[in-house]
This record gives sequence, C-alpha cells and structure tokens, in this order.
Amino acid sequence: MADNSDRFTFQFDGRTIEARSGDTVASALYRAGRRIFTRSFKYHRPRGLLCLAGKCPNCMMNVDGTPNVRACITPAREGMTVRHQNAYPSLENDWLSLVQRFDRLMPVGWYYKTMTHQWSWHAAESYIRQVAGLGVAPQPGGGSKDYEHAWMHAEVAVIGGGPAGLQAAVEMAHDGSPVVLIDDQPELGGHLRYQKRAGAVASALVDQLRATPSAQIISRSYCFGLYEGNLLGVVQANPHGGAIERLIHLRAKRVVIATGAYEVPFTFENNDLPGVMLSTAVQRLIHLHGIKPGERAVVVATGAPPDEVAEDLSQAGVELVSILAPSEVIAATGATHVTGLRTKSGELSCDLLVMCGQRVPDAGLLHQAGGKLVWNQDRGAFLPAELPANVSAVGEVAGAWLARAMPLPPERVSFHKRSFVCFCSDVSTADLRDAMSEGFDHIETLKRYTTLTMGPCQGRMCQLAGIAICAHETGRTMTETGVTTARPPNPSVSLGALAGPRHHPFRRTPMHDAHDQSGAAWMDMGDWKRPRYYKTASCQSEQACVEEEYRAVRERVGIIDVSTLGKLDVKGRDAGKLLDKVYTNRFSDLKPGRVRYSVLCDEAGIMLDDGTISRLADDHYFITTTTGNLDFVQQWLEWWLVGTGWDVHITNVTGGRAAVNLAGPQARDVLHALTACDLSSRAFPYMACREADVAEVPALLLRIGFVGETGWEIHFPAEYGEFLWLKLLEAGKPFDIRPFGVEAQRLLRLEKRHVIVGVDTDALSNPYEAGMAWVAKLEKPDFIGRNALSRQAAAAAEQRLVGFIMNDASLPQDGAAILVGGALAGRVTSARYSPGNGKAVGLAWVSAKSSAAGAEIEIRVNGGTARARIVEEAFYDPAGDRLRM
Amino acid sequence: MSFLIPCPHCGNRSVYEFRFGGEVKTRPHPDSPAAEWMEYTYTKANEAGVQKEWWFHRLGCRQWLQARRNTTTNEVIEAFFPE
Amino acid sequence: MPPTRHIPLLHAHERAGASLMEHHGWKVPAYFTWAQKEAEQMVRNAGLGDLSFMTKLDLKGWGLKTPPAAGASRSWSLGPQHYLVTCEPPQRDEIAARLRSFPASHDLSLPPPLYITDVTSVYAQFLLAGPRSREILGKLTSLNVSALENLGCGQVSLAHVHSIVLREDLRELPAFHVLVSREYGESVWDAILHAGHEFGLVPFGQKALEFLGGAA
Repeated sequence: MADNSDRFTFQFDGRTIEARSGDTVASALYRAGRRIFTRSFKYHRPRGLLCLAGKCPNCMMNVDGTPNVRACITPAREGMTVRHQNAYPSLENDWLSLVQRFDRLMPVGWYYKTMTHQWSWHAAESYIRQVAGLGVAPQPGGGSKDYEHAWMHAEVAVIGGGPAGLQAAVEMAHDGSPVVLIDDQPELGGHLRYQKRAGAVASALVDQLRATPSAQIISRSYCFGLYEGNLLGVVQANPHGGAIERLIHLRAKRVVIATGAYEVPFTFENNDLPGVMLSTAVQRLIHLHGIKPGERAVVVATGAPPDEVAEDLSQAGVELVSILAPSEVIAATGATHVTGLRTKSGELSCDLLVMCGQRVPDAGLLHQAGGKLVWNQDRGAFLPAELPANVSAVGEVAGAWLARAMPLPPERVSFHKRSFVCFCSDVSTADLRDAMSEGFDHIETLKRYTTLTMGPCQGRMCQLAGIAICAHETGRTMTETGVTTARPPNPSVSLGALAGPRHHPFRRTPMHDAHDQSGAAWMDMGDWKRPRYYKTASCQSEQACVEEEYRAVRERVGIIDVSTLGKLDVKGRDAGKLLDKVYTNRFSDLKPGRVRYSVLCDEAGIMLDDGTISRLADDHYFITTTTGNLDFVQQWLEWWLVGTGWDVHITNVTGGRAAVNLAGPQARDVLHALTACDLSSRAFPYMACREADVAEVPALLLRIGFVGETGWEIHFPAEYGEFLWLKLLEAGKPFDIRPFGVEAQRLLRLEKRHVIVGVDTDALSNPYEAGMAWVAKLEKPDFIGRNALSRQAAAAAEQRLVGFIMNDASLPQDGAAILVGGALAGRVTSARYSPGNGKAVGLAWVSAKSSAAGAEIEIRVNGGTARARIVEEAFYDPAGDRLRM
Repeated sequence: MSFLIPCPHCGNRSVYEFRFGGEVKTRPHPDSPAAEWMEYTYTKANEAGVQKEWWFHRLGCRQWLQARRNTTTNEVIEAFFPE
Repeated sequence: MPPTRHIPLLHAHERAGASLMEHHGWKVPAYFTWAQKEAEQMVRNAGLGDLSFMTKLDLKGWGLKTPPAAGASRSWSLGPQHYLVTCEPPQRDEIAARLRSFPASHDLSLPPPLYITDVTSVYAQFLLAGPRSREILGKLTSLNVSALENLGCGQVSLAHVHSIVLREDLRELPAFHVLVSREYGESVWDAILHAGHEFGLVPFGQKALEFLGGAA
C-alpha cells in the first residue's frame, strides 16, 4: 500500500507530477489524471494502461533520456524527467493520428504492395524513417550515464519472484547452494502482491528468502534469453545511480523458470481505447497504489473469475454497471477514452472496462531455450512438455492453477479494422483475415507478413489471440495451428544494454605521450593508436607534412615508432626446425647475428603474413610479425608445434619491447653518438643483427630497410621507450632528424615496391604471382604450403602484382579499377604521389597477359581514366645500393 | 552459441573464449599426390554428429586443445591437450 | 647508470595528480591524495594500485612438471609446463639464478629443462584490493572470482583484454593482481576504475601499501 506521508515530485512533459513512495511512473501519472500514456505505432491511436505488469507496449516512455522504458514497472524517483514518445506535439493532440483516416491505403503488408518500384522506396524512405519507430535513441556522449555489463555464476537461477519462484528459491538455497532469483517487478511476490487474500504468504516467503545467505535477489531485472550451457541474459534496470541498465551474463548449473502467467485482452472493436484494462491491472491500481481506477465499470468475463475483481472494485468505490460475457460485447465507444460499451442487448455507459481475460503462461523463455509447447484444451494454454536438460518449470508457467476462460479456438470472431490483436504494431483481426485470404494462413507466414508477435512485447499480448483467429479462420485446431517459434530476446532488450559500456580497448606504444608532444595526428590500426603524420609549424596540410617527413628520410634521417610490430621470442633446440616448417624461407642455416625475411603461407600457398626473423643464438630466434597478425602467427606456430615433441618455446614479448626504425643517409651518424657498437657496413652489414647498449639501454639492433635507406630497427625494453626515443631525437638534432608517421612510411616503402601483406595481397595471393618467388624455398623437403607452391611455381600465372607509374599528374585511389583495351584487367592496391618520381606510383594486380614491363594500362581516376606504364623494378634505388651504404 | 568447453587447464569456459581450429585431420606426406593434398586442404567432413576438432583457448591459457563435439547439439564430450 | 624505468601509466598517473617516487629503479606513484586515506579506502571498499614494477619471469620447459620453487617468489601455473614467477625487483637475480640451477638431466639427448624469459616489461600489473574487489571484477570479467582461492590464478578476458588474474590477499584483505599486455594498461586501468566507481574504488600509491604493511 502506498504510504501517503512520503510524497515527492518528478517532471512529465514539463509538468510537475506528485508521486507517493511505492509509486511507479505509470501509477503516479494515472493518479494525476493521465489516461493516454502513449500513441500506437502505426495509426497513432491513443493508448492507456492495459497490463500494468510490464508485459504490454502501452506505457513506453522516455525516462531520463532513455527511450522505451515501461513506465508501469519503473519506480518513480524524486526529480526524474519523463517525456512522452511517438506523438507530436502531445499525447492528447497527435497530428500523426490522422494516419488512421488513411488506413484503407495502408493494408496489411503495404510496404510489399506499394513499394514495387525502386523509386517508390527512395521517394518514401525519408518520410517513413521519420515517422516509423518508437522513441528516439539517445545521443552518444549525451550524458554521464552508462550501460554496464556484469558476469555472475550460480548453482541455480530462478526466473520469477512470484510465489512459485520464491518457494523454489527458498528450497534450493536451503542447503547453502548459491541461488540467484531474477524478478522484473519493483517488489517480490508476483500476483500475491495485489490479489490481497493471499498477501501474507508472499511476505513470509520473501522474508524467508532474504534471510537465506546463499540466495541473491536481483530485482527489477528480466531475463531476455536462455542460451546454450544455461547462459541467461539478464537486464537489470538502474543497478545504481550511474547506470541506465546492467546486462548480466548469468551462468547457472540449473535454471528454474517460474515466470508465471499473465492476462491477455479480448478482441472487439475499439478494444484498445484508454480505460479498457485487464483485471489484474485494475487490481494493481487499487491494491498497490491505492488508486480508484474509475467511476463506472463494466466487467467482461466468463465464469467465476470476476467475483474477486468485482469485490475489489466495489471496495474501491467503483460503481459496477454490469458483468458481461465476451461474446456479448460488440464495441467500446469513445474518442480518446472509453465512454461506453455497445453490446448485443444495448448501450452501456462507463468509464472503465475491465477484462478478466485468459491467463497465458509466460513460457517464451522455455520455448526459445528449446522446450516444446503443447496445447492443453482444459487449461486453454500452450504448456511446456519437453524441457532442455537442467531446466525446469514451476507454478503457473507450467500450467498450475490455469483454467480456460473462453472457447479456443473461438466460435465467432468479429473482424474489424479497429479490433486489435497486436497492440505493438496495430495488427487488427481484419488484418489477420486479409493476410490469411491472401494465402498467408500458416501461423509462421502469418507472423512474418503481418508482424504479429514481432513488436516490443514479443507476442505476449497477441500470440494466443493470433493463433486462435488463425485456427478459427482455417478450420484447424489449436494444436494443428501451433505456436510461432520463440527466439531471444524475450522480451525486447535495448541495444545499449547489449553494447555495454562505452569502453573500447586501445593499445598505446611506450612513446605515445612523446608523439602527442610532437604533434602526432593519430590513426587507429586495429586497437593501436599510431601517428599517421606529425603536424608541425612548417607544414599546412597532411600531404605537405608527409612530404617533409619523406624528404627527411630520403635526404637526412627520420625515425618512426614501430613498437606495434608483433614480436615473438622463440627459444629451444628445435626452434630452427619449426621455423623451417612454417615459414617459406630457410632459418635453420641462418647464422647467429643474421636476419632473414620470409612470408608465411597456408597449405593452399596463400600468403598469410610476413616479417623478419633474427637469429640471436643457436637456440634463440626473434620474430617480428605485421601489426595486426601477431596473435594469428603465434597461434599458427603453436599449432604446428603441437604433437611434434620438439623443444620450442614461444613467448609473446610485443608489449615488452619498444621498437623504432631509424633510417636515412645519416642514420649511422645519429646512432653512433649513442652506442659503442661498430656500425660500419663491414662490421654490421645489411641484414645483420647485434645486441648492444644504446644510451645505456640494452637493445637489439636489426639492420634492415623497409623504407629503402640505410637504417636500423632498434628493439629495447618498453620501460625505456620514451627515454630512448627522446635521446635519439636529441642525437639527431644536428642532422635535422624528423619523426615520421605511417603515411610517410607507406610512401617510402611503395617507392621501394615493398609489399604489405594484407594490403597489396589478399586471400588469393601466392608468392609467385606477387613477384616474390625467391622467398619460397621449394628445395626444402617440407614446409607448410610447399605442395601447393610447387604446383603454382610450375603453373602459368593468371595475374601478377606489378608496379606502375602514371603518365600524367593524376593520382588513382587504392582499389581503383584497371582497364586494358576497355576491359577490366585488374585493380590498384596502393598508390601514392612519389616525390622521387614527380608522379604517382603504385602496385596493382593485373591479368598476366597484360602485365609485361613497359605495357600501358588505363586506371579509373575521378570518373575518367588515366594512363600508366607497368614498371618491373622498384621506383627508387632498384639495385638497393642505399640499403648497403 | 554459448556452450561450454571443458579446457583441461582452465576448466569449463564459454566457447566465446575459444577460436575454432577446424576438424582434426592428418596432414599428407609431402610427396603424396596432388589429389590427396587437395582433399586435405579444401575438403571438410562436416560431420552431423560427433567430430574431433581443434580449439584454441585464446582468452584463457592460450593452448591448442582437441575436443570431441556433437555438431548437432554442441555437446562437448571431452577436451584434452593432444600429446 | 641506466635511466629510471617508466611504468606503462607513468604519465597517466601524473595527469591524475599522483606524486611520484623512485622504487627499485622504477618511477611509481607514491600517493594520489594521501597514503592513509588511500589505505583506509582500500580496507573499507577497494583500492587499485600500479605494481607494474614487479619482476615477472616466464618459465617454460619439460623440467616444469612440478611447480618451480625459488625463495621469496610466487609461481603461478599458466599452462602445462608453463609458469609465471613473480617477485620484488631486488630478488630478481637471486631467484633467476636459483631457477637456473635446476638440476640438468644426465641424459644429454634431452634439451635444457627450463627456459626463462623476463617478461617484466611485457605486462602492466595492477593490484585490486579490498572487500569490494570481487564485485568490481564481476563487472569486468566472466572469470568466477568467487571460486578463485588465495594464491590461485586464472587467465581470462578482462575489460575486453586478455588478462592474467592472480589472487594474493593482503592478509585478510582479498586482493587480485591483474596483468595485461603493457600497451593495454591505460585502457584497462580506466575500465577498472570506472567499474569500481559505484563501490568507492580509488587508486592508491606505493605509500599506501607501506602504510598498510606498517599498520597491520
């Protein structure tokens, strides 16, 4: 019972509403005189409270910015802001309600019937997008509130806090087993809360459960899915002040479904008018909130059920006009609220129409989890028959206490455009008849064609009536008609809850803050943040910056953070054997202190990754992988290791090693200032590696040249990342060193015709067609992909990866089509303006017959075509002299 | 998909934590005829019933394991580290 | 004299107002507000500290059929014949030496019994301690932390990142080390603090740990 002494206020559509403790948003608004709570989805008809149990779509509102909140199960809180939705300008006066005048133009399936030409959808789309849908999604970043995720583990999960669920939870938790009880109402007790004769039983059970230490109660939460392995998707509303909803992944060894049953409305003309309510909703208003629901009531019911409701109404001071059987009712009358009832025996005046409807087991979860539902004629319900392992059902959902309230299928159906079956998307009995007459008379096709059971209530209000009408119209039995397949979510769940917190993991290199200081323009590469280029005072645009960085590397010295490279430390006696088996190149004969490049292929000969492998000692190698492929490469190596018995141990040290590439004609001078290591080409030639201290930091130096200049890739402990980066910049100052980003690196490597696996190659690229035949050592007795590669080596290439240089100043985009003689002959994989050539250069896949060096091709550029010439060798320093200087 | 795989090191864990590695097959001898290699590389038995599969526990111990799984029910009969 | 080592979140801690101190050659937060308050918060609710300076050794090899034991260190089983050994930085060399002194087999055909890789730099290591720490972890990971006993460990996705969770209670206070690859450190630290906000989680510095050690 609501406590009259404790009152507070909240805002609804700019007006102050008084609420009492124990109120829900809906009950407070009802007490304040509100009768229209929402407007319907299609016709914008006024809708009022129907179920008051969170089962129907009739009270969805925007609460504190969150759309589609069911006002009837949301406790009112001091200061909350509630707004109506799906009506403009107001609930009372909704311009879009004019739509229902044109309902003849909107027959069932009208999208399919009207949008028969492409142009018709294009013409209508923007209008439909504006008026369709419910609520408005909140703007991201629009508030401090968040959706959350959590994980829980329990021995037993009980779904439903009514008498059956409470009893089950008390019994299961009795021996100390962890039990979690999920209930969607503001308070536990189920129907005992408002069917007052048994009220004391509920509170005794609740007290008993609260006193059980191993039982955990999660109130105001609903289970929207029961998945394999007894994973329950549970959404909890407002778990704490900072969260809108919390999605709980609950794993339970056993699940007890005690979701009970709910009441559904009768179908008659204008059965959706505000003031037409389910009897349980009326009882909730009276007993939970102390509200007199109306002045003059007509009760529609069969048999005994109305006695208790009639007594409740009279106790609340409501005049009981009449009790009628549903077959007597023709139509409710009224414009925006019920004012009377047209019956077979005349007109009645009333402001409240109470429906003692059929009680339907809330078996959606059981059904979607794989349970079978079987029609039970006596109870008038589809009841669970076969349940999945470790799932059980108790109470009303299993059929206890249920009785049939009317003939099913019905003897007579009044087909009318305003006799609603589905309240979510305004599907009427007439719509169902029309759809069936068009041939959609199977319950599953009827559902898809009319969208029956597909709205926010997920069929709770309409499924039974839909099946009954389908059975009636087709002359089949309820069993023959059957139920539509239930799938999660059950009921609807917000996308925000599924998406979870606005937290996306990111990876930062040890030099991140230093890059920030240098003006880095960031780009995302997977989860990594990498400088794309550095903004400086001397350059105005990205292109100007990239060109400055490019010139620094080609003419002086540049430095790039390559810490994102995957780094694997491989130890063990048989390490060389494993690398020989998995990589196409040979590594067992690599001498310590040397580096070798290789690609990695699958058994089909497709290139999966590339990288350098350095031999640090007889039983110690160091592998680098491309930034995005680290996990794959490590798993691939480990996989081929399983079962060999070889002594190989792979440790991922990516996070632990910072890495930079110092490159350019003066790179040696810069590095020389910081290390005692002999950097001369005689002592430290191209493709060699050395371990040495650089600025007192222990480092591994690899002399390799992705960008085509003399340079060193320096790997060192991440905790010195920033220190050594700054030291190198300082040592490079006399040489006007520039940090360079990914974009300059891509340009520099492209001039060298160095391929990026995954950019210039794809899932169809083998090394032969990519022009990298040298990397596959077919003379090795066996390696992954050897069989396929040896066939590819012998076969004629179908396409080839070639370099091209433009004839004019145009710059094709990556992915641009290549034409030869007007026919499609390939595509560009990378293209950049090359300052060294004064024109754009690139790499492209071209059909083999058109790929001869010097051949002319046409490339699509800006809607037209531009001519280019195929070039066999690198665009810059083809002999590679600069790498060896 | 939310079934559990009993990882021999980590215990029962959600399949979400694992990467599927395909059916367990025997790699042909390097000199086997092309047809045998084609069969190995491209053909899958795709058993409707219990089959032996590779799984990698990527969000756990990061080990490759083999499991016998009923592909029609997703029941994992056993999971083990292959010798 | 080698330069001071930077923990992964050094600058993030600075931005959060931490006062820094040197601890075994590493620059670490001494305190964020003041030590006593941080320690009290940890005992009452929960605290999050950055212990990335802790030495971490990755051990693999056939000799690890039984857990390695070496002085003042903890060893955690990460897989078959795969352990992580953690210790304070000053003990590193002694412990590594003792691990290496593993009796080699007389069978010369066998490879070395043990390979050690220092992975101290590979991981960011955070300590989440306090009575509410389990509830906080419940918002970050599917690992059943209630079933994780003291000195037990698990590997799991935490804040969408592969993590190693080591339980090492501070006397009666439940405490969990969370290890993630270093580059994810800031992302995971933020996610833990965010998840713990409703439980009163605050970051703590090295001084708060010392305070707790002295007070108990």
